[in-house]
Amino acid sequence: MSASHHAGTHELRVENLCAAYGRGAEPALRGISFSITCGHTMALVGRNGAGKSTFLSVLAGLLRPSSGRVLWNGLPLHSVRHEVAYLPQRSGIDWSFPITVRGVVELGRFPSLGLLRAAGEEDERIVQYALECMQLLPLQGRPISQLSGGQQQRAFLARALAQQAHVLLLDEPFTGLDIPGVHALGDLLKRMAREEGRLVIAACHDTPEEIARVFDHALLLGDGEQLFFGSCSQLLSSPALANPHVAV
Amino acid sequence: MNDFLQFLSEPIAQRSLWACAVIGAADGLMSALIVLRRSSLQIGTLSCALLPGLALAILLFGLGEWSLLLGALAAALLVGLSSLFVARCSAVDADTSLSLIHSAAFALGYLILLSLGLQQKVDDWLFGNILSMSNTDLCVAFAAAAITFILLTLFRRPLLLWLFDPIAAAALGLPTRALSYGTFALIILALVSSLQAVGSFLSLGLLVIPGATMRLLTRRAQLMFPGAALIGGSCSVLAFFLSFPLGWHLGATIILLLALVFLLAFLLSRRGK
Repeated sequence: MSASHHAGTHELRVENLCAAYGRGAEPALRGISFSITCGHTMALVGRNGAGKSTFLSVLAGLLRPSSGRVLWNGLPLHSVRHEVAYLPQRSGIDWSFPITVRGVVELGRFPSLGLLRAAGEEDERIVQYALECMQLLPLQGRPISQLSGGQQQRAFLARALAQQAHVLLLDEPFTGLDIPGVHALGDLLKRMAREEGRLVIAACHDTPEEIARVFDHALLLGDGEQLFFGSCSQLLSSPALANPHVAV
Repeated sequence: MNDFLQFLSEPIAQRSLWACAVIGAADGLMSALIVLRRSSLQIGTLSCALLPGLALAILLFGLGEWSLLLGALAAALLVGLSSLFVARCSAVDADTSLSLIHSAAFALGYLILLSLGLQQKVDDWLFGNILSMSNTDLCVAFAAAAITFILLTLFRRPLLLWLFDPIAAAALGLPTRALSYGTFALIILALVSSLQAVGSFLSLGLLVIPGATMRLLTRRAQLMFPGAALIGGSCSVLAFFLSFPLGWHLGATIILLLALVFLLAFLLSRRGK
């Protein structure tokens, strides 16, 4: 069930990535290149409009690169979409939708089940495990609308676990959470990477110190360009952070 | 009572009863999708847009079953797509442009039908007349119901994912634009196929109220579909048996019964809070 055996082996490689919204449009991303393996947490940092959400959209397959490549274990990432779970910004979800927590997690089985196959015992076991991991078993019958912001994020992480995706993309997951909620979610993301062997990539607006508490790597973007990629401890001492135009 | 039993033995009554059950259940099923898709307002305006299609079809091809059906379909598509076009190409939002275009089209259709001397037909198309359904109308309703049941059952999982979290659905490679246009086309099909039975005004109730009722009764979207189909079908059949002895208009009786069930569900849901 656990994906921890993938930690350090499965690799995400981004090569000279450029992307634009529409032909002839100004590139929103230019020359992004790095690689990172499973078992890590990576923060996407930069000011508003730096290209964080655009970068996540490319990784999620929502926006095609205009040039460059995104590879997952040597294969184009868009060809293994089931490997990627995307958790959009909270504002992108209809929270009044009539669905229970278990129902949300069961949606994660869609890529495996397809249109016609009925959910079997193995699927039930995977959903149960995901709920258990995210400590959602007591809440599984509750409507998603009745959960706190932190619990809703946990339900979406459980859906990603049920999907058995190795790459988790989160767009500003801490927005709208109180401080205990931020800490609890941060600890969960670390667990997802270290114990479950996932690669967690999240766009963040927090201070570098707070980012370093949860994430071990960071990609700093400024006006669509890569200004820094490396460990968070290196980021804290990076001169790129001192630039007032890219300060996070 | 004897009159009613004699009426029930007539082919026209049996045909109407079948139409009530099938159209009620299919529109009920569709209403769950419409409520979850938050398209009720869109359907309200589109349902009125069928009238100019009927008028133009009669003007161009005469009064025939297929010309009416295709005219209504063409009008719904034309009004729906042109409102999208206006919204995309101007500062006017989609709801405003749809309201604007549908009211202009409705006025045009009404004037054409009056000038053709079809006042009685206008009433039938606005409020429906299930007893005047022809075999072709019934076949169209059955075919539309079968398509609706098959597609909504087959695509239940991707539809739920798309309705709840469209961005994650797109990230998983689901053709979200095709789902959007496909469900829109299905809604138009349901509207057109129930036109003869409940009319363009009253079809709105059948395509919204069962889903809205189930929205109050369940926390699970997947239960809304069979529940709304059951409510739509059973209220339509019950209305058939009530309307004859009471001397009420059948289409209006269906909508009143559905509204009553909604009211009960509303009171029940308030009690639970």
